Amino acid sequence: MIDAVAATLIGIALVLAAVSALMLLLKRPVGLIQYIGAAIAELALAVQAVLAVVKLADGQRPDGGTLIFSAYLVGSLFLIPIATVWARVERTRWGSGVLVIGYLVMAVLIVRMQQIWRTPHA
Amino acid sequence: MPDTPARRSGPGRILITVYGVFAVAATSRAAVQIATKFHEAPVAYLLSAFAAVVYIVATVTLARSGRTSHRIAVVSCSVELAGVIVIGTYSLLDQAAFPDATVWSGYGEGYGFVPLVLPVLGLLWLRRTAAAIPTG
Repeated sequence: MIDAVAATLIGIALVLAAVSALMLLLKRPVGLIQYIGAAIAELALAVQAVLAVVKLADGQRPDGGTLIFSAYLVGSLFLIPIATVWARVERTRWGSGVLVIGYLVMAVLIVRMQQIWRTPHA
Repeated sequence: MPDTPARRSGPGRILITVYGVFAVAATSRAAVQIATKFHEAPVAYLLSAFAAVVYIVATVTLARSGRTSHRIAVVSCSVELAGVIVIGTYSLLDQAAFPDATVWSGYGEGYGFVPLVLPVLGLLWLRRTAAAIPTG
């Protein structure tokens, strides 16, 4: 995968995790800022997915296996919507806590996808 | 205790979130292992699948209300704690038996030791919410 795109995605995920962690500390439920953040994260993940599909269509293959990489790619698109819905139902600060977990998982997903793209048998 | 929280609200929602992540992660990992290289380490991969089932059951029963779900959740968290301790110890003592990692290898070190902490938090949360179970 493209390093710059991955670095940007990890940066977005960590900043949004920090924002939601702050909201958790301030005892705020999920609010408008976090919905905008979730939209940005999902858009960035969609851009990555398109770039990845272009690379795969171009004949490039992830070293760690196309099947596993594709599974991560599909999963990455569902993560933030599911986390947001699950966080939204909880109208307390713990809803913000759910988003913290969601963004940390997003950062881990991107790191894993980078590893799978580069390393054999990752 | 009238203010005893329901199982899936408050901090419980975060707990279920993490359980859900592990249910998905463990299931996907076991599915890939069994589908692509089962013959390499059948015992380890069957354990992966077993762990995946435990995480799924724990996630669902933590999220559902009621006495039966509470009981099943206690059992699955206990099995999970026993699993991570037994498999964790066994994987360190006899590395040859675990040529490939499972979620519980090395006490879950591949997953930041979350698999070791999670069942403890789960059992504590279940104890705290036990009073809120509707009778009948």
